Amino acid sequence: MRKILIIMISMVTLAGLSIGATQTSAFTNSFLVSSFSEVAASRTISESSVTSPDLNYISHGQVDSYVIQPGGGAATISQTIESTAQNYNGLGGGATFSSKVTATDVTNSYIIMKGTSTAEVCNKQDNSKIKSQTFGMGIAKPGEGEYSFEVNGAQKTTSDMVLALAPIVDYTKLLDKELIVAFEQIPTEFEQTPDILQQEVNFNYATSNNQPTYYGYDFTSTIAVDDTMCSSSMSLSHINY
Amino acid sequence: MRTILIGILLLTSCMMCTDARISLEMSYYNSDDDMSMSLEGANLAFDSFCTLEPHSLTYSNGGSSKQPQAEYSYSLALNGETTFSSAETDSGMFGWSGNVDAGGDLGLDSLKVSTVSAVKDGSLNVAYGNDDLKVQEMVEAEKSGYQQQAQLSPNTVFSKGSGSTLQPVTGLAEILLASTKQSSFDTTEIEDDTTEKGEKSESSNALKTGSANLESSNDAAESTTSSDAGSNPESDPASSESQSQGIRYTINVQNVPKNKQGTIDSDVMGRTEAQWATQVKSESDEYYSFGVKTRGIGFAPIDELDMIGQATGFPLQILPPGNVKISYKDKTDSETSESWDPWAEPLEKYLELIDQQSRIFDSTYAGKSTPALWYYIENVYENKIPANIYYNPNLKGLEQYQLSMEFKVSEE
Repeated sequence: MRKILIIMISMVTLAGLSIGATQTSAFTNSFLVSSFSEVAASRTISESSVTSPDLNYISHGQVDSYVIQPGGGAATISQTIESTAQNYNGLGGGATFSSKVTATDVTNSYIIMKGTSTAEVCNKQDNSKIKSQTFGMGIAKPGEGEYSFEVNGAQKTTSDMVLALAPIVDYTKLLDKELIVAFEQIPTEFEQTPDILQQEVNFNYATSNNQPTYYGYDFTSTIAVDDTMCSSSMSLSHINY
Repeated sequence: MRTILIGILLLTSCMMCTDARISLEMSYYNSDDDMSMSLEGANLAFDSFCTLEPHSLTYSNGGSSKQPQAEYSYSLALNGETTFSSAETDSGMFGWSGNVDAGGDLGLDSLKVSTVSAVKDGSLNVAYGNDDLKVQEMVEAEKSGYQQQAQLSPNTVFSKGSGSTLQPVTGLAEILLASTKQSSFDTTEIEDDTTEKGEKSESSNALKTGSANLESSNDAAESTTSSDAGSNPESDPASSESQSQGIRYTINVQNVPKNKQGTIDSDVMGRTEAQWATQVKSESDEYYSFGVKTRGIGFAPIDELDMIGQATGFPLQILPPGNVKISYKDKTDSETSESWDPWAEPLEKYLELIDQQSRIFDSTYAGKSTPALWYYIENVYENKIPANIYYNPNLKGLEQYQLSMEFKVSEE
């Protein structure tokens, strides 16, 4: 009898703790192979959102990479955007951006990564639905030679499907604004064309209640000019506490 | 004893200079080999020993200083091949030793020089090399220490250096501990420093061992990221303002035969705990390398955090590679809550976005572009099952049981 009572109390307690919790994770990849181009450029866009009766979170990510190869050169550009959004423990989300460029005969290279996110309370009331959306897009400039360009992506959404009020920790004016987080590479210009250039940037950030809680990046670069090769790298993690 | 000793010159020099400059030149030669040594310096101790025979020459010397203002410039040459080293510091130490072995039964000539230097909360300029490669290191250490060792010969140069900040930054350990518990941020690398501190404490003091190398900077100078350093954030209220520490480091390497040079400037200064490792490697005149590695953790913004490299015929290499910008923008009317309907059909919105982005992309990068490739995934969850939790007073019982009974009947 005592055991049954304990089990019943536990069930009621667990039920009371359940909240409407939905999490969406999505990624978009693009991959460009250009055999002969004077400018090789690629842009990947990924947008992800999760909407529940009370909360709405949207993140938008964009990666641009380009290399200038005046005499014509080969290039591969791979880009990835991964984003997550969730509506529990406040409005949260984050994104990871990655760009890897390998090219020959380069005189200029540049990478820019930009993420925006908004978090808000929905006015639309429909207490029975949770919706997640993911949009991915890629476009490239491959040059005049043969090329291959592909885009792929995926989305995963999980929800506990117990709809109840999700907690809004701090509803401030920030929630009415769009947060913009961007990594902008210092353009690399070459007086003497390197034999090979390989640069990779992985940039990511996380937000909570539309405030950045973390951002960081990993950068690696390998450049060879004649008999000299330089490998450099930097990792940075910034935590807002 | 048939061997006739034609001549042995045994010379031993020993001197100690305090607050005085010295200049010394020595040269020895026989019918096969000739060598020379020159030394200039201040506030240093020096000794040398030479055995000279008609067909062999053995020479060794060394010097050191732990004086607050000391310097030396030293070169050692054998048969026209030279190695050199020098150091100047206002708050450190240096030492060197040179050995020459020429002639002898095997006829193998060798010239080797080893140097060591260190600085703690001061400046250090060192130079070393041979006829092919000349290396110069300049260090400004604020509340930090740095030390380096080099092994030189006429054909090779090996050097390793390491350093670290000397003081734990007030409050940093507590925040690290809290963030480790409360967040999922990847602090593995920093944690490793802390957890391995006990194992590394003996070998990690750079000023004692100098065993760091570029590949394993974990062996660099004593970690100051420790959480058990005994610091009390409340004990020194002014410390947070006065805790800027770090190292400004420059290494320049010149390849004399090819008339090339390269430089790396590394500056880290601020409320940070950091470590450094440096390395120069030249195994022949065909190959050499040099590098700098630093890592740390501190309160943002760290006043100085950069590394700049340049080399002959090579583009400038700059770290950080870019900038992170964070800003807020007011949403346009079309994005406000009043007009935003998350349940509306979004396809039109995305088709518009594709068209817009394609136009922007084409104008940014003139020329033929690929068609935009895109996809859209939508998931809608509709909860049709009520999730009401309520107490049912008419619960029926469920019991689990076990009974047993045994009768034993015996026929008499």
